[in-house]
Amino acid sequence: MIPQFLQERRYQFAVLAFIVAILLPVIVGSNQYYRTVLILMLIFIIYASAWNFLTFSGQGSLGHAAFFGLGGYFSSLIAINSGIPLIIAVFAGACVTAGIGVLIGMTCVRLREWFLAMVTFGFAVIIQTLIVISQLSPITGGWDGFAVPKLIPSSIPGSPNLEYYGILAIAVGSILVFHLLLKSKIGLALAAIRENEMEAKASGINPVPFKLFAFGISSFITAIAGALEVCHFGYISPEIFGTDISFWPIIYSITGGLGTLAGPIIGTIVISLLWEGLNALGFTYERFIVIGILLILTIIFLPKGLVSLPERLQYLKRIKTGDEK
Amino acid sequence: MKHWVPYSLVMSIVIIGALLFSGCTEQPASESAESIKIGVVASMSGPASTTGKDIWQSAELAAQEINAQGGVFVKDLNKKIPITLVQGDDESTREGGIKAVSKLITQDNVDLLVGGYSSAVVSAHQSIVADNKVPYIISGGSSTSVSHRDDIDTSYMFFHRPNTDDSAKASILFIDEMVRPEIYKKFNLPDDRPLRLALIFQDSPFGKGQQGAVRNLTQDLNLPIEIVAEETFKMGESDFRTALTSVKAKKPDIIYAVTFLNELIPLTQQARRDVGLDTLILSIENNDDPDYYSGVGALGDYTLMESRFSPYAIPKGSTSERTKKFLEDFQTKYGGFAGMMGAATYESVYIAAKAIENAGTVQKDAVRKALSEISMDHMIEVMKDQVIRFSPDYQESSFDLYVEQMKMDPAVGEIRPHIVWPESIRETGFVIPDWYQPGSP
Repeated sequence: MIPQFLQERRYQFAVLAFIVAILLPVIVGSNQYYRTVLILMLIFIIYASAWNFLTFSGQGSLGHAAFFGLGGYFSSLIAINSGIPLIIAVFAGACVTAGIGVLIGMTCVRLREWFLAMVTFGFAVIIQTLIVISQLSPITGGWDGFAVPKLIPSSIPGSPNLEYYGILAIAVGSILVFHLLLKSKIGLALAAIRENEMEAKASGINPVPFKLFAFGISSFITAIAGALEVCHFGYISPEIFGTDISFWPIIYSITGGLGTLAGPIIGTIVISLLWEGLNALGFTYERFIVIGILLILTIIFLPKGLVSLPERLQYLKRIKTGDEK
Repeated sequence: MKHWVPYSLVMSIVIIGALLFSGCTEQPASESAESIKIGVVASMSGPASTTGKDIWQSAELAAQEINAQGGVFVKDLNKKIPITLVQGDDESTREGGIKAVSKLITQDNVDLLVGGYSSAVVSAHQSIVADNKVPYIISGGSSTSVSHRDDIDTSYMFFHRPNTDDSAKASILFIDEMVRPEIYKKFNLPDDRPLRLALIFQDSPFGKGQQGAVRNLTQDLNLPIEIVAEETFKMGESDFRTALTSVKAKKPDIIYAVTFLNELIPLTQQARRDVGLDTLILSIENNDDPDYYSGVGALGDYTLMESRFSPYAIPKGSTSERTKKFLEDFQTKYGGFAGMMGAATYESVYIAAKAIENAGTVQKDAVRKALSEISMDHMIEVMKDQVIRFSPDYQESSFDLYVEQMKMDPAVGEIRPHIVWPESIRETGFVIPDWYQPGSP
């Protein structure tokens, strides 16, 4: 009676990971530190997956913090000023951000590689500056930022677990959306554009709407991640547009496996756990060195990321046994 | 079955990682009262790590001194209890801060927190402190947006630092009372000419708080000061030449630099050496650190710094002996000098000990009440009325701030600070260097 899709090992692994994710709050109990780590990990899984989705269309971004931050600002401002439930405001803010994402996409859809990356980086700088200019500071709080309502008020019984499961549901939902999109004709078109845009055009695929679609979806999900982060902190300030916020999803995705659905998830989990584990062992500065070495080793020996490690080990095993030449 | 092998491997990595970060960090609760656990929130990594090290080491020194006396007397237990410090690295980021504070409160079960530096980082983890109601003596987070919040319960937070309004006021009053008359006299400038002030500030609540305070003060006090340039830079930046070139084009009489320590050193060097700005640079107190004196070199000659604690310029009076001892002990233990943030944290540990002693318990609500009522002699930083106490409105302490001018000491080959303002404690007069050029007429 096992469903057909569970015959595939990747789905078996996904189900196993999901079960572990559901059980984690039970394992960590009431420890707020563990829960904070888990929640931030889930938020960055959503964020890294959204950044990674853009790469399926052959595009890259060095300024995704702009969408992350805008999602935080729009959602908070909508929630505070309209009085609508926060979770609806999160999605409303993400819709506005996605609209901006498409507009940005329209300006740079014909750019490639570093040119596109630099435009997105510049966009993040512009957005941060706009947020703090004095004319907008009565609304945005300028450099001081402002307080944001919590996703689940602490007065509600079981709020920490509710928050975790709510964010887990959004994370799973986001990954499912990416999975379904990539399995659809849209995914095939994106792959064709990524592999060879000229050939894709010759085959009758117009790359522009597909690239814009990828930009829109990526900025939408990134904005949700940003909104969830500020709701968890209960505060937003322009630091959310920081350069490090733009670079973490890139590092997570490359380490885990660029252009795969599981890559950003595995990359985020492994680096986050390594980061916290080393901290627990008393390493502070050294963490940067370890993460740097991990990134370098991954790029050199596992260019497809940690997700390809089992495949790589099997390949090496076949060479050793003489099955592979 | 063989399909599961590679995935089991990946899963194992995850589980090992989980064990690594869970199993190694569990701390026993301090319910047994074998020690008083104080969490030290410091940026041990990231752009503010230089200051973080200073904060941690100074806290260690204070705890060691208190423990050498047997610890803190806790009336409820009728005995002295030693202090144990637990480090919380905020990584100089909002995410790092929230994880560090969560860990200190919920896993390490600290009785009280001290430290905190960047306003942006502190504002992100304040809600955890509010939710858990843990007393927190914050020695950084100078922006009023941090201490004047009304959206969360800040009753457990006490701010042992001047806020951005206080420090900006000292700087602006010094410029108006001392710099302006001296420049105008030396260069025969008309009295009705406003002094031309340039601001270079970090793009953070800290920097912006200073910018707002300077603007408001010059307006509110109706001072003849015109802000001719306002340039921002990102936290951790090391190349300021573009901003400085822009400032130079505006021809200011003086630059007010709102920076962290690792930013002020290259900024000062690039201003004088690369951009050729023959003007005065006034910086803000959190940069008063031995690393500034050794790092900036001769290019820091005649620069100015608003301060409240210096390793080399000790105000005469009731704090001087204790300050000298603190500096000597710090040098003996760590082979260097403590900075201002270290001094504030050192005092914070003593304030925490005094509050617990007054409360007679480590119960958090009782300690909070004791902190709100505390009144103890000032220690190594000069306080208003020579007393450490927290204001009833925003629970902020109040300092007597001063301004130093740096002069090259050929004997040590480094610049050294000399207090030039206010009149009551100044060591020497304010000097306009020979190379100085005033701004536009």
